[in-house]
Amino acid sequence: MTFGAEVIEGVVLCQVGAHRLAVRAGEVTSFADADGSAPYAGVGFDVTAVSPQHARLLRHHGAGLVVDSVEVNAERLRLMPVPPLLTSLWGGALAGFIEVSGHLWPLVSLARLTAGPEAVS
Amino acid sequence: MADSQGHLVFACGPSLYAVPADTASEVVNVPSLTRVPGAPAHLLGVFAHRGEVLPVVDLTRLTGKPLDGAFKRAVLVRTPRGAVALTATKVLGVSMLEGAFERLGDSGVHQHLRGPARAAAGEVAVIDTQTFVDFLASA
Amino acid sequence: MTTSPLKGLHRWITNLSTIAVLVGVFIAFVYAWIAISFPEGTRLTFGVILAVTMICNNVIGDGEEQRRLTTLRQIGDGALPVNEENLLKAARETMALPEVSFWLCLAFLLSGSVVTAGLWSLLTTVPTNVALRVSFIGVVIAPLTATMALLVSVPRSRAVLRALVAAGLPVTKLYAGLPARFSMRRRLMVYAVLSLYAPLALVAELALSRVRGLLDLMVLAPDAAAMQSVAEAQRAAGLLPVLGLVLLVVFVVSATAWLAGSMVGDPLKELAKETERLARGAHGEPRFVPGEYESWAAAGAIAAMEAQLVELLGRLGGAAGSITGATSSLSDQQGSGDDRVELQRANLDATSATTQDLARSAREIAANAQRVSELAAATFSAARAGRDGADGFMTAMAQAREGNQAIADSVVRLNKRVQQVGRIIEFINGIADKSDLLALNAELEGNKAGEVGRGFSLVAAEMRRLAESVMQSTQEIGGLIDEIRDATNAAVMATEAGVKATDAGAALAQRVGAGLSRIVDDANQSSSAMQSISLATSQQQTGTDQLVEAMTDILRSTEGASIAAREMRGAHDQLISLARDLEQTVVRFEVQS
Repeated sequence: MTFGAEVIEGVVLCQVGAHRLAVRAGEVTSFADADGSAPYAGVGFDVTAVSPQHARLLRHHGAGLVVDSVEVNAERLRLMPVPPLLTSLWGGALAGFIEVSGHLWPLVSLARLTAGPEAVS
Repeated sequence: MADSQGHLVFACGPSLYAVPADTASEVVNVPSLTRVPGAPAHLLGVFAHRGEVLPVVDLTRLTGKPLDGAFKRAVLVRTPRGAVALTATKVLGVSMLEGAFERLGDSGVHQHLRGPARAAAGEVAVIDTQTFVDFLASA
Repeated sequence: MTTSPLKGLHRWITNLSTIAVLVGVFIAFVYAWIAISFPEGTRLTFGVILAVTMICNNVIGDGEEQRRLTTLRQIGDGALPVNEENLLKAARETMALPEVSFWLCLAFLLSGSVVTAGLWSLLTTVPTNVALRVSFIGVVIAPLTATMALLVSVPRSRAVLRALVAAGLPVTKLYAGLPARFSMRRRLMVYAVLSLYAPLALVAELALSRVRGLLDLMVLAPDAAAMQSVAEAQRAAGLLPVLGLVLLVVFVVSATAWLAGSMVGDPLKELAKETERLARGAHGEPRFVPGEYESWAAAGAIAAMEAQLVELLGRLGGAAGSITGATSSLSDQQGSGDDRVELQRANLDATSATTQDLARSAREIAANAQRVSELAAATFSAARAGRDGADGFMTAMAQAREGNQAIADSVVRLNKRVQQVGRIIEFINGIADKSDLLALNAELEGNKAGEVGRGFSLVAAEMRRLAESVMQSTQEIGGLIDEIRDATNAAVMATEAGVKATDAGAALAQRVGAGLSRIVDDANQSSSAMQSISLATSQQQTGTDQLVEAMTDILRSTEGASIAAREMRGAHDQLISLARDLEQTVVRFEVQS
């Protein structure tokens, strides 16, 4: 039983269909409207639907990830570690879990996610 | 071969499963789960339990006989490779099993199930937790 | 612009009276010249005084006459409109003129005589007796001259009256507007007296003056021979002038008498002609017959009579025509009259039979009306009973509604309790589930503890069974609660439906009650109406019986009428012949319009 001592500050809480996703705020260089160049985060949840209108693009140094909606949270949050069974999922992009308003949010590292094209598939 | 240590027997769908009582750390009620991106279908999601994130694995999906509907209970199994919650429709309790503990199959999840063993409630497939968790990690 | 036929008549009417005055003055002058031996040197003075006096008097008298004819003059000049009122006024003036002339003449001649004689005696040395004689002559001549002036004015007055009638003055209005004065006798007496005594007085005065003159000469004569010669001279010389004078007086008197006679006779002659015309049956608009005094009255009466006669004859003629027409048509109808009487009788026979049928029908109607009246009364009772029933039903419905409502309330309360029980059961189930989970983990832990934990595990297993049996019980209770909930929901729905049904039933019952109330009212009214009808029909039955009797009487009367009709035909024939006679009589009068 491991109690992760890491604390993060500043996350972007994203909605992808009915699912949740969090990104470190520092990883996001800018927000933009989705333009079709970046992949939709729904593929990670087997959401077959393409990104809806008014979707947001989280830019990260020329690459990016499209989500349905975004919300920035500036609270200090405890970052729970990824269970060993899940470390290899999504190209190892899972960076941990945070708990906001009674729900768990998987934290995704944009740097790891956009490192290789094969990561998101 | 006689069961010396006892097994926790539980039902998942029509089948009875058992895990060694010493690997079964706890029986819990399953709360609402959070889906993890890039997770396979049998990995239903994660939930926080005593400050720890636990993945929930659906045995019926693993065995190719998926069952619709929520699972009320889960059996928490701990191994050196990590902890995992196995879904259960009903937990019968700890029993001393009798019968054989041979590998039930050569592929997939079945190579991590042993039997045929018998409990008071019927024939039970015993999960080899060590290899099972390894299998899950590699899947 | 045409000259009015009445223009200048006002002057024309007085011309002759002026002449008459001049004639009278002339006679007096001549008489005085002859009879009186004027002293030397006074004759011219006398003549001048007489002429001046008479001219003055004549001018004044003529002016007065003209003043009294103002309306006639104004109508003639066109200053006044020619209407009945003005014409009648002019006629009144015209009628009065002869009298006016008379009195003016008389007044001015008398005064003229006195004035002339007075002035003469003052201006000259005329002996007083001579002057007195002159005035005497004037006084004697004056009434005669005035009468003459009157008499010559009368024909002119009549002529002017004719002209007025021709100008549009209705004859009857004229007669009515100028009532007659019945003074003919007095006038004629005055004329007669004047005619007789004036010449007598003059002659006597002449004779007296002659005799006195002769006596004076005789007294002055120195001897008998002289006296003889005086007498001879007197006898030879004085006769001719005296004779002439007498002749003149006789002429004047005769003329006066002739004029007086004409005044009386002419109207009478014309009236005779008029009455003769009337007697002939030639009627028309009454003709104007001018006259004075009694003759005026007679002419007025005759004119009125003619007018009335014409009107009467007109009516009579119309009546005769009507009678002839009526009798002719009667005659035409009389032929079919007998047939009609027969037909009428036949009709009456048929009518009598019909009335008897009617009487029978009336009796039946009366009986039926009685039955209907009883039926209406029965309907009224039934309707009232129905209304009472509806009222009872409404009360029952109200009670049922209340019962339903109570049930619904109870069911709702039950449902609430059941839901509470359900929540409790869920709570118990939750606790049991937690206990089960706790017992499971305790069993697991006990097992991990090996032999030491075996007893612990057994207790935990027992606890699990307990928890499971609790859960099973709560599951059963949950099932029961579900059943109860379904049942109570159904009950609530059913009671709501029941309430609605009772509401609908109550509303329906209310409508039925209202309808029955109306029916009760109507039935009450119809019952009253039927009683009235029953009464009326029984009265009608009596009336019809009377009608039958009346018809029998009529039949009898018709028999009598048939006989009367035959008698009437005879009377009618007589009436026709009478009407023809009347018509012929009326036709004899030639009514002119």
